[in-house]
Amino acid sequence: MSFNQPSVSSAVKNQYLYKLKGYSSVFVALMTVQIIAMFFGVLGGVGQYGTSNGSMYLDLYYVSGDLIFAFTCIWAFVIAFTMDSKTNRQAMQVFVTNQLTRHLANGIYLVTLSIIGAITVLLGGFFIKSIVMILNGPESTFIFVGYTIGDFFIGLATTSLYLLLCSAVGYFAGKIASMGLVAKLVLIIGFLSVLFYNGLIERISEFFIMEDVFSIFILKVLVTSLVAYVMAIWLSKQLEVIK
Amino acid sequence: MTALLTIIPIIVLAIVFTVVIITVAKSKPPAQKPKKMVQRRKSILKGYFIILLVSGVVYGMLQSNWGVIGDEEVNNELEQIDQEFYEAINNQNFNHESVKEVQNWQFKLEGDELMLTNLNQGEGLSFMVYVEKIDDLEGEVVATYYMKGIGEEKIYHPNKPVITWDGTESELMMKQHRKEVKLHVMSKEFPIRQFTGERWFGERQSHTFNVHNQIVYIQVPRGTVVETSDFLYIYEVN
Repeated sequence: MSFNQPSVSSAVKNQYLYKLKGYSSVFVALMTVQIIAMFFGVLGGVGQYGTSNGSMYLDLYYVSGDLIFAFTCIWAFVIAFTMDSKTNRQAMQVFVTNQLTRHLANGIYLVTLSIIGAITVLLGGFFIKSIVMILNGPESTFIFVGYTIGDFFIGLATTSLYLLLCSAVGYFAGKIASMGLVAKLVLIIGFLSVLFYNGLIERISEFFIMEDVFSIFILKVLVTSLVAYVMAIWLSKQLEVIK
Repeated sequence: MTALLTIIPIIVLAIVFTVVIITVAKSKPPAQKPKKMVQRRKSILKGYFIILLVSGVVYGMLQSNWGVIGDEEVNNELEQIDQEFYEAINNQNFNHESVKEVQNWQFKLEGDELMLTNLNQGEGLSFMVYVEKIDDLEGEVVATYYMKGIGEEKIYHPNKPVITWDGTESELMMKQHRKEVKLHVMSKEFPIRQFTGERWFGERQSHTFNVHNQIVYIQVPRGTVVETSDFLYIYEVN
């Protein structure tokens, strides 16, 4: 037993740094899903559109990092889902820890992952475009709208927020899944209803996707993420009481 | 086949889920990982990040060297040129910089009836024809093919039409080979598009890809009766 009483901040910091330096598999998974997305992106683009006035037929292949963005969102969800698993909790036993510091460290770690993920999403988009441009040459390449520095920062912030949202939802879902068989069943049924219930997934995604005022979008994402995160912590406490 | 296409996204998503889960689940706790493996992983990740950074620089260079055509500024410019082109044609101001004469044909007309036939009717390919009736042509028909005088390198012009007599010297036949252009359009990522007013693809492309940039201008002797086949649209000048 230690006689030193570490502060909350130092306990959180130690756990956070341990996760950041130790869990390289998280980044290997990120790299792998992004390489898969790049492969599909280079191969077929993310959209196709044909237009004709009779004398000319234009076959347009849209190229962007959208697929990387989508795959990275899945990555964020799955990583957060497994973040507070039994194995990961046991690995944290080398530190002086409690629920509060563990969840705080996880939260900060997920924010960091979201930012790193967002940077790689934007750079991955450039990678796909560069490859397509080099392979096809300037004759068949059309740069629709050029990037500005502002675009890059908006893209970075928005992508980070989307990844944060996915990870917060994943963290909450992971906590439900750890509650036992019934909870797992509820989670699966909930997931399937969101997927297949008439228009539910559209309504949920439109709440974020259709928002074109940046400040309101930030508010929506932060509030939803916070709610999901707090609920995950609350569930975690309930789980401890039951045990 | 359609059913197969609809399940492809589900298969891809399943693959992504599996890849992430396997990669993370297979991973040992940090303390149990061999040092060599950790070093190797770190090198791979560093290499990946460097490649991404370099591609960012490469894309920036390509963008500045190849030029951006879909910007609002360029769109406005194209819209203005579009307007100028039709204005110049309507005012018979063929020397205007927005108008480019590509080819000119002259025919001797027998009688006072002229039939204009589009040989591409079956393909749904139409022609826009301006007809001007002139006093001093003395039985001659002059056909001129005009295109917009700009954007040679990025505005994709159609193939030149071929205009010939059918042998009776009263029916002018027009044929054009359809041109197929395959383009790769570089677009911003969705998180950026969400706030730039272009949420979905193609919202701003309509003008940029406007390919109605050709006109056949036909001068006929005054008093000639001009008839046309389908898919041939006539604008009478004067």
